[in-house]
Amino acid sequence: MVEPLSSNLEVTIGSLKLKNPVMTASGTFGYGPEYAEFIDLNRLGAIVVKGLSLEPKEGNPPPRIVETASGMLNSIGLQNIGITAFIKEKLPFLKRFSTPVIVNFFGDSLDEYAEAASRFDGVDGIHALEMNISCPNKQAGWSVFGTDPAVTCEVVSAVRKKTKLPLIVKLSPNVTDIALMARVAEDSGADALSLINTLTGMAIDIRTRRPKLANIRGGLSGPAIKPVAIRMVYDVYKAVKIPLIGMGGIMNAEDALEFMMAGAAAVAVGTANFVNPSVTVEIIDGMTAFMERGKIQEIRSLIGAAHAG
Amino acid sequence: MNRYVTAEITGNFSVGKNYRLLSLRCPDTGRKPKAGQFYMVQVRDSSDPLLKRPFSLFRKTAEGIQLLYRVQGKGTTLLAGHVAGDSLHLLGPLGNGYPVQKPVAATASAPASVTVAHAAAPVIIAGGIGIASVFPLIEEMKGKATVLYGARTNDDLLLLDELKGLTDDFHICTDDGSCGEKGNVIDLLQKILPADTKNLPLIYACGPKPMLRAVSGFAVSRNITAYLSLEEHMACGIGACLGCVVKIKTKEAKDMGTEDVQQRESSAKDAAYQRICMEGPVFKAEDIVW
Ligand SMILES: Cc1cc2nc3c(=O)[nH]c(=O)nc-3n(C[C@H](O)[C@H](O)[C@H](O)COP(=O)(O)OP(=O)(O)OC[C@H]3O[C@@H](n4cnc5c(N)ncnc54)[C@H](O)[C@@H]3O)c2cc1C
Ligand SMILES: Cc1cc2nc3c(=O)[nH]c(=O)nc-3n(C[C@H](O)[C@H](O)[C@H](O)COP(=O)(O)O)c2cc1C
Ligand code: FES
Repeated sequence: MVEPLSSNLEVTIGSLKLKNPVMTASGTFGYGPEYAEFIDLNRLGAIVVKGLSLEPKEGNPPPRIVETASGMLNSIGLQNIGITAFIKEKLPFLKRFSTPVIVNFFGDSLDEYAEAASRFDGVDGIHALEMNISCPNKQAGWSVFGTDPAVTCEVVSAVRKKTKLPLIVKLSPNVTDIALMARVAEDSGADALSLINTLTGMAIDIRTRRPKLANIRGGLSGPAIKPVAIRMVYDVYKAVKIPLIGMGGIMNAEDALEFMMAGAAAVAVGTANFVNPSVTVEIIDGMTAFMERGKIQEIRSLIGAAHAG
Repeated sequence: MNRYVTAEITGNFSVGKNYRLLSLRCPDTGRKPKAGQFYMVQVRDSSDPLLKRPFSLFRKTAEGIQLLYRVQGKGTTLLAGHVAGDSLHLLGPLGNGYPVQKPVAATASAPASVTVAHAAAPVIIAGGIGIASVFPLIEEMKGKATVLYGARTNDDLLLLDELKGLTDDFHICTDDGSCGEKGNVIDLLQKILPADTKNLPLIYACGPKPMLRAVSGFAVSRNITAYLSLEEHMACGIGACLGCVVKIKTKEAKDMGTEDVQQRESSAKDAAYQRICMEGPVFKAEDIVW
């Protein structure tokens, strides 16, 4: 008897089981309800919400968005409603779905990171934490946490002590050696790594001779950054043992599969949600179709496939 | 049915030097678009341009909608190249339209003061391509509105014959005087609403930021309620990216009065960013922090 062929999209990120590898990228999916009109949120592998901080954050002045060739720059400035309001006002909605909720968070000091992490422990409906280390450190002249190995070690270790939830560290790509930063995060207690966050960029209006973003610099996302992201996932896969969540310019199933073959156990879709609000489920369907065509039973078998031989 | 649909182009005609009218046949999503709402249009399924472009509802038709647009940059240039039969992705209607207060007769339930305050026909102001947004509002008023329409030059004034048919009280101005009065809509506004005007109207306006700011200044100084439709760069149109914000006074700040707010250091409590795509695009002039 030949077993009927059914494609299995399940993957695991540490102790977290996902029904498929497709998650949403923080900051591109609001707190969830924004997309409920367009897709069944139950179908997602996981929902990652907008980055949260202890206190609500106002964000940067507009213009906050500039389109660039096959991408966009954003300088939202981490505007968010704060952890308390999220748990009270947004989490109850997300708990109605079977999809795990991953909370992205940040702080501007070591203490804030640690305090923020502890706030989520034991909160029903939060399944993992994703810590964004691509933000400025008040104690170190506002230099970015995730670009200095010593600071990264310190802040990840501090958060690790404060949470029993699976801890995903989201790496900054604005570094010389991403594999080194990945190893530091792994050694400091990360259960998984997310990469990549946006690449720092800038655009100037030649008519006014002024930067196009009010905040001058912004983060580049979208298809323009995909080759950089694929390379970084590929390099980091070789350097660490913990699972990777790949992101950066994923627009369709083919892009997502490319990330998995580079070494990602799961993927996150960001800017593409702005282009097509139902893109995430189209990617899941596209992955299933790819597996059926290629008679691939386990999507897990594709993780890191590009490293073979 | 959700608001992300594929629409078929049934017409894409020039209505002026750099302006076009796009007619779309859209599937029925069960939502009735209102004046002041907008749509996000994917001009081409490609990664460049990547993001959808926002355009106001110009007209609701039997088969769908019409959008009036200015050919300006990369996206609108590509849009101008589309012909009938092409299809594109469309998201909308989005945002809140203009709040329309129909003049009410004095009854026991409606206090006389309210009736008097809004008895005057509203003043609708369009600057440049802002006409696209207020056009359906002008139609809705069925002749009972004063319309001020300003543009840079004669070439930038659109659909004048149609507009003249929609209202008797129609005033035009251009920066260079090539059509109507030479000057801007604020000059016109001051003329039609002299300081001793008793019946103050509601004002609705859409246009470039400097114009809206001036309208806002006029309205606030004269204690007139003005609804302004704002623009900002948008990525999602559905409140997810937080890209399209404008600073809006919080309720506490408004209760304190403008002077108090100005005297204090602006703190997060006085005003907060709101999303133009969700809480807007229409805001009350007195609430906006410029
Ligand atoms: C709510 C709303 C309603 C609008 N309604 C209309 C309308 O009915 N008719 C019309 O002609 N125009 C309208 N606009 C402006 C229109 O969206 C821009 O002219 C258009 O996006 C320009 O695209 P482009 O690729 O040709 O220009 P480019 O300059 O090449 O665009 C580059 C980027 O900047 C953005 N951008 C440029 N100008 C504006 C602007 N003024 N507002 C917002 N984003 C901008 C584009 O969307 C794009 O992401 C509206 C804008 C908003 C926010
Ligand atoms: C508008 C916007 C807001 C974002 N906000 C956050 C955030 O709050 N926290 C975070 O860790 N990453 C944030 N990101 C980064 C994305 O999660 C993602 O890492 C990046 O955009 C690359 O993926 P993409 O090319 O698919 O968008 C944001 C990205 C965008 C475009
Ligand atoms: S355009 Fe994304 S929040 Fe308004």
